[in-house]
Amino acid sequence: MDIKNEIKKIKTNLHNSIDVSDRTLEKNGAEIGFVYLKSMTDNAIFADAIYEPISRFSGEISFETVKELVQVNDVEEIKKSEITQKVLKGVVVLMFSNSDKVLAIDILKFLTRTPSEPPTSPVIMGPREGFTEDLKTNITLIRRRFYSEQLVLEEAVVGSSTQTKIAICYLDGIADPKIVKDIKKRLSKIKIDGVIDSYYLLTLLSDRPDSMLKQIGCCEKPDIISAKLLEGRVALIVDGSPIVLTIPFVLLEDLQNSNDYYTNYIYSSFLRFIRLMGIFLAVFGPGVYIALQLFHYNVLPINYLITIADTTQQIPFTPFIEILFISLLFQILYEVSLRLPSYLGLATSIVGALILGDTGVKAGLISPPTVIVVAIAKIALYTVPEQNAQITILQFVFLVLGASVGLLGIIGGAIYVLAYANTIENYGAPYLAPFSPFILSDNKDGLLKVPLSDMTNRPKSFSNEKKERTDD
Amino acid sequence: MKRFFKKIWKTPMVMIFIFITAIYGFSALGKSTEINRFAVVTAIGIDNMADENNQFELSFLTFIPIAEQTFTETYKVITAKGDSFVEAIDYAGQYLGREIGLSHLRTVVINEDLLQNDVTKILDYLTREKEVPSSTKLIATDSSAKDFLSAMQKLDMESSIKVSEMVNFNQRYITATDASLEKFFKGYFSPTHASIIPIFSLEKDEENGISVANNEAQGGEGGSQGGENGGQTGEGENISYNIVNGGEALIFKNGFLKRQLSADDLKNINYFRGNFSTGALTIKNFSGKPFENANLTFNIYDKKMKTKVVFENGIPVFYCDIKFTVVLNGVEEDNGMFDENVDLYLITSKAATEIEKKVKSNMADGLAIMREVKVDIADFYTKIYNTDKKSFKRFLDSLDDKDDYLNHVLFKTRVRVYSR
Amino acid sequence: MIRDKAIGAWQTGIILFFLIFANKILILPSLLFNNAKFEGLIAPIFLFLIELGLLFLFYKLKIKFPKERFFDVIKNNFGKVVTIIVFFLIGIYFLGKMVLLYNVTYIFFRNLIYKESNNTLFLICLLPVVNHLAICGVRTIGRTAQLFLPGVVAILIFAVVVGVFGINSSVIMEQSTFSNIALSALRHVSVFGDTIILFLFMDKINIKKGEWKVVFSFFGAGAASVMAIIVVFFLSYTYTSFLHPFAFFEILSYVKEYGGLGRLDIISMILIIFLTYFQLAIYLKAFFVCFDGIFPKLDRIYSVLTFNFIFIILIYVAVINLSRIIIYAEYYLPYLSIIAFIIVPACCFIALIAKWRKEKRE
Repeated sequence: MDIKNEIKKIKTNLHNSIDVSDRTLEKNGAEIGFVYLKSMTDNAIFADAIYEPISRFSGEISFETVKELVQVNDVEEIKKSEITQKVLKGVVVLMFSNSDKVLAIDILKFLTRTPSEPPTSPVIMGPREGFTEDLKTNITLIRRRFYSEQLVLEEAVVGSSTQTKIAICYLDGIADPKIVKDIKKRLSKIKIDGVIDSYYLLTLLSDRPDSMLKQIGCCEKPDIISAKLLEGRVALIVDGSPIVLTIPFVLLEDLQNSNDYYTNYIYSSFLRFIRLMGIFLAVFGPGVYIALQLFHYNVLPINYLITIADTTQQIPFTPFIEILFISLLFQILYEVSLRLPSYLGLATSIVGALILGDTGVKAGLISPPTVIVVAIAKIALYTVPEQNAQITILQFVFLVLGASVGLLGIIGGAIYVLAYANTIENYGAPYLAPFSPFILSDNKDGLLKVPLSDMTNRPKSFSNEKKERTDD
Repeated sequence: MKRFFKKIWKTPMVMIFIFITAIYGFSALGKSTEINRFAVVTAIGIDNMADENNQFELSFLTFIPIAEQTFTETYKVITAKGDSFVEAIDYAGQYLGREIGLSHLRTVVINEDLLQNDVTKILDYLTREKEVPSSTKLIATDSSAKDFLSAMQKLDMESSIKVSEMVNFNQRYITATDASLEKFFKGYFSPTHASIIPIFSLEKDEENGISVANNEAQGGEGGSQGGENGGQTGEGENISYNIVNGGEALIFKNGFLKRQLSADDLKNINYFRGNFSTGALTIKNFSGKPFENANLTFNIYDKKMKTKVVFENGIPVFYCDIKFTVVLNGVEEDNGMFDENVDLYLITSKAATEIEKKVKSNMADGLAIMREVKVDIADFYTKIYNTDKKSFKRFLDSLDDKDDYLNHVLFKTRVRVYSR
Repeated sequence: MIRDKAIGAWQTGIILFFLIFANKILILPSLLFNNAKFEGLIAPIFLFLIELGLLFLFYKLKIKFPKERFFDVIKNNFGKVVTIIVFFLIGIYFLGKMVLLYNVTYIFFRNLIYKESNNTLFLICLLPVVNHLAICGVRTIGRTAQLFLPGVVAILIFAVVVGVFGINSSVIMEQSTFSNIALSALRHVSVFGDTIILFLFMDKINIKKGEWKVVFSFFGAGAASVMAIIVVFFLSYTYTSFLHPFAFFEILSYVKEYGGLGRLDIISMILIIFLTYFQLAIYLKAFFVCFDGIFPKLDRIYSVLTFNFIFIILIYVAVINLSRIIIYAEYYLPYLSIIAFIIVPACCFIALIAKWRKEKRE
């Protein structure tokens, strides 16, 4: 093989990118060429475990001897046509002047985070690991929770440009093979140039991609994923994303929190009610308030009526404009506080809470009850942070409905939204599953939570192979 | 983008939402609070008109919002005249520039002068109007209802005592019937056709305080409060009034006023009500161990009543068996303070007989009033009717005046007294 | 896209439960008192018994014809023309009931919560949601109803318990004659007879053998709730019951200052609004089934358009006025009720006998 020519060819294939490295070594008349990406390989291993043993070797250099010499496990022989692809995946390619064979040594290495507690779902008492952007690490995090042969990891590749690796992860004998098959089929049908984050798959794998409702579970913690795998769900780990997807998904999952499983069951039942109340307040609070103010003053108790009447007298705006204004203001503050560096966050909260809220009220621009209602609704929204986007949209929808047509519209809207959610059956799981249709055994881990010792069955809201959790 | 809009077009709900927003949402942007379009009326006073053109003079105690960040109740009394109730309400609305909202109506005050005629004619509108809460209190006053509303407003401002609370107190401890508009009509439509309206009197404000009749101690307290506030209220030339709750009530039959009852009369009648047991009994000049010529006051701790109706020779006999549990809590002896603990006092048979005698005479008084005015406030009718319908009907048919049945029903009472 | 899928015993029971009490808790008790005083109580008991008979007939029919459509059951026995006539009548019947229900609730809302609104606003609110529910099918209606059931039951219990606190008077019975009671039962027969909806949905209902008791219990629960509300209403208003047309609302309204909770009636309003949506949706679904039966080849969109067109015209033409609607309900709708109480049961009965004979011959 003409090493120099080959290296030149590979470099041209890779458009002479700056991180392509090559090296040649001449020994006893034979020539060895190394090609690799500086950015994707471990340079120390390359030097110590590959280059050094070969350069010290005094015997005859050939494909076989080099294969023996290299002190790396991942060594394989590849075809000539595969060279470019392999180099791109962090492999050192070795070519020999006295042989047509090509040796590939995998020493892929890039910088990743170490598993740390994800900001989205912190726990008080419980595992603090979170997934990282690296597929291998993520698989490790799951694998080390299952020391059994049941855990299956299958690979799929999506994205014509990104060639993103996706690990389909499920427990054999527990997850429904039909669901696994369905997922694989849908993955193979996806036509997209690149999958940057797992969120891309969220819409691509849903039954109703246009729907505003979230239909696939997202999670950032290996302990939660393990629990979901045990329930018979399938997890999709996407390379480059710390968010792992679970299928099938029911709305209840977002009401559950990993904290619930690490505390007293009565307390966690109580917390779930609080979360439900939080959703209610967040979705309906501003809408009902504005509806009462504009259409149904006569159902308010007199003392509350007096408070509202007194405090809204000075406001230059009509109630609807006022509440829209405050809601938008909050949303802007929220966006700002997300984007700002943390040392500026304090400043925004001072500006938001003190100057805009308090002074606004004192200056007679906004009324205290409205501020309270909006504030409660916006805070309540974060009792279920996973549904943040949906709840925010619904909040505005119900606000508009309440202001336009009153209580009748709000209740009609609520019925519509729930009826719509009831029509969704993603991968055979009714969206509002243990409540409608009502499944008694699933309600053990529904709004009420029973002690772990009583949860002997896997969820029935979606299909899985084995219903009982115990082996007998 | 084109595809996306096509999808939206195919989702009718989104279109409808946009439609609703476009039509109603935009108009809502300019809509002011409903409270600003309605005058919230919490009390209505009904007065008689002197001239013949108008029948009614209605006074409204309305809540007028003022710009405040704290909870401030500001009420205003406005008056409107009209040929009918609706007309007067319309005029009042015209005066305020707001529609009159009756959904928070709590009290309706009638001038006693109006009660000489059929009250139901006056109250008809209020009971038919769906918006008026059926728990609205109906009370009468001996002078102008307008002044009464002003006094109410004053009372509320100065001490945040509400007249509706006074009415509630009366119905709990004195009249024993709900003093609501609804209850008035319930009584009117019931077979006894009897209803009760509590009456409050007004007295000119001299001391500026809450006056409660027969209670000097509290009156004095009110006076001392008045001393502090006197400077504020005394400024105007208007004479201000105080509401006096004497615990009195008016009884009606078929919507016509029959008689005014004092609190004591009402309490006497209440002995016939099974579930009603408050009050005190005083025996004067009682001698017997260990007391000597003492005035004893007993509190009724518990009352249990069993009633039975038996027809004897076609005449209903109403048996009333009452068990009292009483507690001695006051001894007035001539020789000074009584020096024993009365909590453990066991009623002697002599004391018991005295109490029984007292109760029986009270009951007789109560019955005598009912018989005199032929109004069955204690609703004996239902009890007798439900015992034996046929006999009772026959009995009623045998009477010359069917309303006068109370005078022909025999009452037999048995009273027993126990210590706690 | 038709997503009409089958429902189980629980959802059937819940739909039946809503049907049984939804339209009877508002205006019926007051009218019953008007016609027959306190004995008006007996009229609904009597009608419920008949309705129980209908349910039993449905049970028998479902056992004999487990998978068939109601349309086919009648068609196989009476021929296509009769079936179409029957379905046409049922469609008209439900349309009439919808107009009644809409008007009653409209008057209620107008009087008590929407002071400054009009028909258009109500139609804009109601029609889209009701249409959506009906188009989504029986399963969606059933599931959504199931979701709301705990709330509905809680409010019902709350209303009855709180209503009991308002009771403070005894009543006198035997004020009206039997013929009065019978007459009032006859007059309000149009409010009853909703069980025949189950006949229309029979191919969408899958009930296992042991689960029939669930359906019957829900029927019992519904009837019991109606009776409880009527009794509590009569006892808390006694002689003035006739002055208060909106029974369920008035129960809470009477005790609205109870315990310093402020106004409790908003709770009953929410329930009434909710039930109106559901009731209308179920009726509409029944109308769609009839429409599909008569015009099997037409697309769903035509039935939706037809309904909305007719309904809107009816609503705007039939001027809303409480007395007029009561006359309409008391004097005209009972004739339509013949469909529910005589024609449909008779057809089913004949079909059952025919099937039974056929089985016997074999």
